[in-house]
Amino acid sequence: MDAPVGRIEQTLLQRCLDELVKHEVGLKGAMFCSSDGFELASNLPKSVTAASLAAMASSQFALGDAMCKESGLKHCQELIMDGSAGSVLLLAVPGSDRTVVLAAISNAKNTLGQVLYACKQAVDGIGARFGKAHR
Amino acid sequence: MDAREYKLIFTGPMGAGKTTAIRAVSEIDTISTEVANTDRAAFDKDTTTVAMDYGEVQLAGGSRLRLYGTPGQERFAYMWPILAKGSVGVIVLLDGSRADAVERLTLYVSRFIEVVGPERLVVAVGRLDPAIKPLAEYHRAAQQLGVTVPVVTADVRQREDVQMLLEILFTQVEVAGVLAELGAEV
Repeated sequence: MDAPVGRIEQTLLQRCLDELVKHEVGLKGAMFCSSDGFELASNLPKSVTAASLAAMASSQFALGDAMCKESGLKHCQELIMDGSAGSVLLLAVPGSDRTVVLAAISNAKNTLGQVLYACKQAVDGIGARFGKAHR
Repeated sequence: MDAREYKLIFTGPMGAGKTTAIRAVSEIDTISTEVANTDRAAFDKDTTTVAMDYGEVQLAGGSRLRLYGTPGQERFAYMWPILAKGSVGVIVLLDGSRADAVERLTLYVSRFIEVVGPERLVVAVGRLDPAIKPLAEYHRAAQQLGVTVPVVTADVRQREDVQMLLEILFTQVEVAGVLAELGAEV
């Protein structure tokens, strides 16, 4: 596989995830994946299969992108899926031509906004570290 | 006759031509979920579909054909039954220049007969190279699955070829309907 990011960037992604999951109480786990469904870095509960989550995240994000385009809203930047026991957040890394997506699993009920803010900070930070344009 | 809506599925491995086939016949701007392909080792192609393609064809009498294309790679197999639900039939596209094309037939036909049954399938082989695998090998693979499905060659870049596939599939669907009625009467 020709990963959309190199080894150094993958290390950055992994560190970013580890920090994010460590400091956000409402975050059960998170991963970065490529837009075509490959895991790039992950910090997930053992019950979650990274390969499956990566494929599903890429499909969902692409559908969100198609819906945004169809609705005249240009590109999809984030998706929030509310489950009965928590939420899944998908956010594009800005400036990566949306080739890298953050998938975060949250069980926060009252503090989802805080988790979303932390995830946005994370992808903005990664976007800046990759030397690309900011959102 | 009342106007109806029919849902058809195009499936098959990455690079077999699913997106191309739907674009060839759709009468609306197709909806696509193509993204950059980072797995060049598997297939040297710029983009790949990760969720679905969608197009439409208007039929006589006001009926409408809704065409869905699946992602090809097995990591997206979770999308296959989601997309195939409620469909009247499936067209399996294969790339005959690939050494594993017959094995791919077995994979896709066996997965989709679970959803639409053994009669509502058509297999189309593009870029057929008899030196790699003659068409008879594809027929044999389908028969080994216990199904007798039409296996034809097609260039899905050509609108006429895709229309031919749709006609064959509709014939299959009609025959399946007649056989089902006969079975109910016996």
